Amino acid sequence: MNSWIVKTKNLKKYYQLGGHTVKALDGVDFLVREREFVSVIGTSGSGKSTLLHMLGGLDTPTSGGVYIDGKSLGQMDKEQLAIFRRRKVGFVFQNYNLVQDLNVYENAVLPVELDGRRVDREFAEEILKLLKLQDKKDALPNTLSGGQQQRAAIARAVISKPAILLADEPTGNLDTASSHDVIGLLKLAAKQFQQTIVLITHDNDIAQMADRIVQIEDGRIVKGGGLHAEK
Amino acid sequence: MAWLIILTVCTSLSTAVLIFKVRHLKQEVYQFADQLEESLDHILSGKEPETICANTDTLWGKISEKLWRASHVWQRKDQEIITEKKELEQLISHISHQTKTPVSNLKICIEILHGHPSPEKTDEFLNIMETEAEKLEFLIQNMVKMSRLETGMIKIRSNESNLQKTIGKAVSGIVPKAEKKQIRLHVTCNPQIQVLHDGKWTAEAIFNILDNGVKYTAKGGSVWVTVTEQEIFTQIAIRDTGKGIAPLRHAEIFTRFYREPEVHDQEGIGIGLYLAREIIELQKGYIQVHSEEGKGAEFRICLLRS
Repeated sequence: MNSWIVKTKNLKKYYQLGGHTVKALDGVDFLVREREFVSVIGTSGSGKSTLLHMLGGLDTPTSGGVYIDGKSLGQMDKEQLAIFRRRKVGFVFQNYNLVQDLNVYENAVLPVELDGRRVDREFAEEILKLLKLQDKKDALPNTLSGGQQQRAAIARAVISKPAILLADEPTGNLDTASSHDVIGLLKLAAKQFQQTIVLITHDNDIAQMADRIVQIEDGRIVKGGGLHAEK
Repeated sequence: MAWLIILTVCTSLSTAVLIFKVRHLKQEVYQFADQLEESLDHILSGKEPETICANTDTLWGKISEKLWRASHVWQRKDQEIITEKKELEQLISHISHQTKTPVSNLKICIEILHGHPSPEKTDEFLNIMETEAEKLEFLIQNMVKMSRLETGMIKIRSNESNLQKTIGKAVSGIVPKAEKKQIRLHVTCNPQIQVLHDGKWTAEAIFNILDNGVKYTAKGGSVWVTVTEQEIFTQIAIRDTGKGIAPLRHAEIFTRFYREPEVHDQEGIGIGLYLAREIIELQKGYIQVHSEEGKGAEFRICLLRS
C-alpha cells in the first residue's frame, strides 16, 4: 500500500518579472507520509509558500507534478480542483480568514455546509471542545484573541475531515506562548482525526514541533526532503 | 365547459410530468444502488472502490469519496495490525536475547561456586553475580513496563493535582545518580500549579527524561526543570548540558529500542523516551525535543490545562 499522501515530482514554478525569470520553485521532490507532521522552513522568498499553494491546488506549476492521495492535480479541471480543495484539504492561514459576521460555530461548520453536506453537530462540538473553544461557540471572531481566532480557523480546517492540513505561517501573528498552544492543539487534533500536516514557517522553534523538518532555500529543498524519510 | 377541458388537460399534463419524474427518480435510485453495490463488492473483495466520480458534486460523488476513505481506513488498520504483530514478535525476541547473557553468566558463576573456590575468588564471583542480577532486574522491570504499555494495561487515572509534587517524585528518584556524577539539579515550579494528570505515570515519564539527561551529561554538568503555564498547555521543560541530539534524529529517539549509535556502551535498552511519549500522549499531551549536537538538549512535556 502506498503510504505517501503528498508527493511532488521535479516541481518547478518560474515567474517572469521585469524581463528576467524568477525561479520560485526549482525542481522540488517533496514527500509526506500519511499522518506525518512536516514543517517546511525557509526565509521569505525561499519558495515555501509557493510550494504550499501548489499542494493545495491554489496555483499551477510551470512543470512537474503534484500528487495528493494518489491523484494528480494537474489532470483536474477547474471545477474538480475546487471540489478537491473542499474535500481533501484544510487550510490554516496566518491571518485566520474567519468570516467576521459569523460566530465561531458557524465559521467552523462553513466548509461542510458549502459542500452541501450534512453537518455532524456532535463531531463539530467535539472539535470545538478539543480546541478549547466550547465556551466561545457563539462569540464573533472580533471579540476573540489571536490564539482563539486561529484555533477557530483550525476547527474549520479539520471539520470536513480533510486528508491533509496545509498551514501557512499559522503563528505569524501570535506571541510565543499562544503559538506553542496553537500548534500543540493542531498536533492533537491531527492525531485524533488522523490527518497529515504540512506547516510552513520561518520560526525554528515552531518548526521543531513537527515530526520532520524540511528546509527550503532558493526554490530547492536543501535538508530533510523525501530521501532521508524514505529509508 | 371550456374550463373543464382546460382542467382535465392540466391535470393529465401534470400527472404525466409527475410519472416521468417518478420514473426518472426511480432510475436514479436504481443506478445509485447499483453503483453502491458495485463499490461495496470491490471493498469486500479487498480492492479499493472506484472513485471516478469522486470529484463531482453529485450525490454519488460525495458518497463514493466517503466509501473510498472508509475502505482506505480499514485497509490501513489491517496493515497496522500486521505491523503491530511483527513488532510484538521483535519485542519478544529482543527480550529473550537481552536476558540470555545475564542468566547464563549467573549460571556459570553458580557452577564455579559449587566447586568451592578460594575465598577471594568467591567474593569476586559474588560481585559478578550481583551485577548480573541487577542487570536482569533492570531489564525485567523495563520489559514489564513496556509489555503493560503494549497490551494497553497502563490505565491513566488523571485528576486535578499538584504538579510540583509529581515533579518532586521524579526528581528525588534521580538525585542519587546525579550526585554520583556531580550534576546539579535545578527545579523551578510554582507550588500552586494544579494540572489534570496522572501523578504516578507522569512522574515516570519525567523521571525517564531526567534519567537520560543525567546519563548523557558529563560530570559536573547541570539539569534544569522549569515549569511554565501557557493559556492551553502547562509546559515542563527539562534541559541538560549534555551532548545534544542531532536534529535529524529528533523523531527517531522516541521510537522503541532506539539507541544512538555512539552510546552502545551505556546501559539501556532504548525504551525510556518511548515510554515517556506514550504516557504523555495517553493524557492528551505531547512531548518534543529541542536540541543540536553538542549544545545540550531540552525536552518539553506539554500537558493540557484543565
